[in-house]
Amino acid sequence: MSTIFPVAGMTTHRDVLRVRTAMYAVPGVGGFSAELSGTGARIILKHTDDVVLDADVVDRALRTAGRYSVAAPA
Amino acid sequence: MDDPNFPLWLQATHLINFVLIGILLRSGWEMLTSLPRLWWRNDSKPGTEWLKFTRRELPQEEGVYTSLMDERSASPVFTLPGRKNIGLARHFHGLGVMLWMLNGIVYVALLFGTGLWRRIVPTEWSVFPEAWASLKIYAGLDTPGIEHFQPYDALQMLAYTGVLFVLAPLLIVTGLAMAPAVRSRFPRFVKLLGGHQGARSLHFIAMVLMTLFIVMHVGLVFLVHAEHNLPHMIFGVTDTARYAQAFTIAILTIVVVFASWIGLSYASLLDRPRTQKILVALTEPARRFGLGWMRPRMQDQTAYTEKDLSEFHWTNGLPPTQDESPEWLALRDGGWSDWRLEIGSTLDGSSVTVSLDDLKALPKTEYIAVHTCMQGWSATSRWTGVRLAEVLDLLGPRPEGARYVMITSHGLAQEMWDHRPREPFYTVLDLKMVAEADTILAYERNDRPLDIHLGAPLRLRVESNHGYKMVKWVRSVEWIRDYADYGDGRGGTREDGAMQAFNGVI
Repeated sequence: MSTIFPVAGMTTHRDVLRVRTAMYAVPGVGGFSAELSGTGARIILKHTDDVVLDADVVDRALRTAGRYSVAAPA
Repeated sequence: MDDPNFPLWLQATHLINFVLIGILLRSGWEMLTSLPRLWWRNDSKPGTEWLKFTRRELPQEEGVYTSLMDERSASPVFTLPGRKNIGLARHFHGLGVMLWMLNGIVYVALLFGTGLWRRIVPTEWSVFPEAWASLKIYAGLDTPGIEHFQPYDALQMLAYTGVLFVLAPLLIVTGLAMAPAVRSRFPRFVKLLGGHQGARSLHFIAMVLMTLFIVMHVGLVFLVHAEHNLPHMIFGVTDTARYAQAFTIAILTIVVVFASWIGLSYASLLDRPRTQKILVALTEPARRFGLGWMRPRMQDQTAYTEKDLSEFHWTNGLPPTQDESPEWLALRDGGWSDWRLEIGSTLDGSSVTVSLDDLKALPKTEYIAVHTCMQGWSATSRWTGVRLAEVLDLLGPRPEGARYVMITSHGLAQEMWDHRPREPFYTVLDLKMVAEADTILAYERNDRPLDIHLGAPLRLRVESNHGYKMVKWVRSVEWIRDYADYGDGRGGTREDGAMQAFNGVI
């Protein structure tokens, strides 16, 4: 299954690379995708059904990667 | 005065070699960062590596992570092009190899044609005790006297001969052994090298030896009788009075070459699709004419047997999720009873659908084959399915003007190159690939229904190509006129944003 988080601060390809590296360090994450569009950026994290991804954990990982954070849903 | 031992062609081939070896090493390192682990096994099971350049511990369970999560990002200062671009790195590596081999052939031809081979190829057994004597002098942090060098000493002769006639060919052979076209045509040859992972590990070891040789070779030029070496190298003369000039030019040359390597990395990242277009155009002739004639024969081979089946199979891309394909999830939950393959033609609009049972009723094709991802991991499995060509026949004769077949997944690409919203994962095959006997739509692996994470209920196998051509969770197969009309126009999606070549034979 996947969990989707809107991300603030991720606007370029290099941002995506940094965020991707940070997300792979989040326990339980098995796959990562990023989408940048006019309405905002989001990451799609794939994981097994028994994993629940905590937005706070993801947010902390984003902040360690740079000036990124989980954004409020649009 | 001009020294006949150091003609212009020798200087030119060395300079070209210096530039190309940097391209090869730097692109090779980029490829290694994509999967910074090495094995001697017939698979790539995490935890069984003999060497790794990452601290990341991966789950032992299959299918819970995509192999892209092991990829590291390297700086363009050190790799070509850097920043997780294995597709472009592979193209640079291919171009570098082509030019390096060409330069090597010219060098060896001239070496033998001019008789200068006698300077570097030992012809007497005395070379060994003499080399040992030189080695002891170097080990004592001293340098052999100039009289040892006629023009090279015994240690140099052994090293040069070893690099030229053992190490370089080993790099070429192990590199070729990692090509799916070679493996699927000559499986016994690849198995002799320890399989895909053995060839990859040997290639790495040979790379390390080559790097050490280059560092020592260049280093000793400056450390041992530089006043003779540098005028030889730069001007082709024996004239120690020109040492200062030669030294300056040598240093400037090294600086310029290093700057060019790094500049090439950054320049190629400015517009990745354009870089891909140029590199693929330059390397396609080698793929087409060098490897294109090889037809896979996994059904006939006897090199790989049941004993070779792998314990572990990585995957790139995870099964479709709710946001990608609710339809596929519903079909999965229904035991695939309602699943249908769409077979169609975009040229005349015709289409038919077939069930899994319909496919299983067609003549069965099975074989044991090694799956390789261009990242470097591999796994050996028995695949069972139906030839793609036979499935297409269900639609009728090939539509007029149809030159390619597009296979589309229920899943989305992991990443688009420009990070636009993801689009369905797809690949395109040309008529030659479609016609290959080992191009099948597989519904079983190791005599069991296909695993969910490996593409259930149906996936594509194209044994002459790398894994990025082999669509999992297949939804449809369609005749098309030209792949340029779809997606980014490069014949498929892939996890590095479709920077791979259409032709995945190496």
